[in-house]
Amino acid sequence: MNYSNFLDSLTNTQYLLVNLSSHMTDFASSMLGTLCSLTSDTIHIYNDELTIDFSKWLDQSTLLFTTGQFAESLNNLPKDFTVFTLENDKSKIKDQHQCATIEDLISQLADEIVRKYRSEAYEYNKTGELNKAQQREEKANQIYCELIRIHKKFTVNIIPKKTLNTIEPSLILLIPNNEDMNSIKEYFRDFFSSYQFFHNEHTCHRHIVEHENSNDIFLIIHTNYQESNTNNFQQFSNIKYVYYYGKSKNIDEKIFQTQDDLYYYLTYDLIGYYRELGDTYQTNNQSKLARDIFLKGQKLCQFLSEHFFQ
Amino acid sequence: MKSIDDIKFDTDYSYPSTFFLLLYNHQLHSIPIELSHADLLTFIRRFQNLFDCQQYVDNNLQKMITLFINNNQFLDWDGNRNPIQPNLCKIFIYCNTFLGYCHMKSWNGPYHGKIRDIFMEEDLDYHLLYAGIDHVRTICVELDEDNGLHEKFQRDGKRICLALGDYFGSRATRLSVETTDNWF
Repeated sequence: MNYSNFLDSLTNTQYLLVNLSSHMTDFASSMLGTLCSLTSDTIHIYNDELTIDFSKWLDQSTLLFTTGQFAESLNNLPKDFTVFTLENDKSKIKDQHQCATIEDLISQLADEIVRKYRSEAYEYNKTGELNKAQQREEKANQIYCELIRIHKKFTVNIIPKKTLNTIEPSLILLIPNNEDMNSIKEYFRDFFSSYQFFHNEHTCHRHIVEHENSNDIFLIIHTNYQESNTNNFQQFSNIKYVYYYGKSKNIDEKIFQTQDDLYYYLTYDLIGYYRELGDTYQTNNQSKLARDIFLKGQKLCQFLSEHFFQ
Repeated sequence: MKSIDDIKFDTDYSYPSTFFLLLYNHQLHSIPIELSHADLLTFIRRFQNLFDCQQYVDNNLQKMITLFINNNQFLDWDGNRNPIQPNLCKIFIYCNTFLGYCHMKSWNGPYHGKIRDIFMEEDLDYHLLYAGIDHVRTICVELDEDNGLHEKFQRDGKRICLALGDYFGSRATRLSVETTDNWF
């Protein structure tokens, strides 16, 4: 995809980043890298500068991102420059253009770029150039999607490592006997990649440990096992949802007493799960897989409406 | 293009014990948020003003309340409500900036445990439908089947499910277009 044509009107706005490299963290660099790659040549990065010759930016709208110290040293700053600064001293922060961390500063850069796209989209909508409007809107969304993915990567510690070729999650049941759960396979069919039944929590535990790097798991635990240490199942990165099912004297916890309730929440959570998964694949540019996932989500909504809203 | 203004509250949704509120201040949004299924969101009570919304929550202590709120207004809410309102059960935060999103994600104030989700405001459409399904389902389970409203809420729930299905469908379609389209 060639974005340079697409960005024609954006060339009026330039984003200058000056003397920030020594403050960069992995998280901030990762965000900045993404922004640079999505906006072609509108972000300009300078380092180790004593001063900047602003004359070549004069006829354009320019946003300057730099350290508070450097900004203070500038006396030739054109009036129409918008300045965002990184301040070491928190007591100096008086308005929204001053940031305490480099992550905040780069987030502001992203917000400014998106704001620009959005306002262009809005203008194009008004003049009836819907195609252009939509492209800008999608570009803005893409920036936010990618940044949210990076944010997750640096804060939640998820390793999206898949060794299996299926996109669907697995369903694991820890139940005393299969009897009243035999219907589940037929009910959910191919919304899960596999259905595994365990009657012993240690075997179940071992299975999950051994497969921690493969599929995401939805786990159903019968309330008979509640007394044992089933809480520690939650610590595994691939366990996405845990459901307690059955009779219980403990009413504090979210426990599903009826199969109808349990099946409803499984379906409902699957929809949310597929939506997030589709987003991830889409930002990874795996369009075909993302499309399959969204189609599955669509089917699930149909399924939900047929089974739970008569 | 449908927007927040097209949400019309249906007073039948005053009877059940769970309420669904959306606080949305037009002044905070230079560009209105698009909501393509606004006409289906009849279970939503809309508020423009933070104070009115808080007052409403205070006046309905016997109801369980779900609230959708913007990140800036959430901070204001949190700032002037202590102790926290017990009937405010689930909070969903839509953010207008990525900076706001990051702050919300690491935020740890008194209402922290009630936050169900944090997302960017362009996803508001999806999240209202998704949370809406759960809201209508909760209401349907609560009402007896012979209640006159039961059938109506079931029908509303069905329509919201299908609207959410459309959302997935259009995301899929857009991807099939994109793979063949080179932008110009």
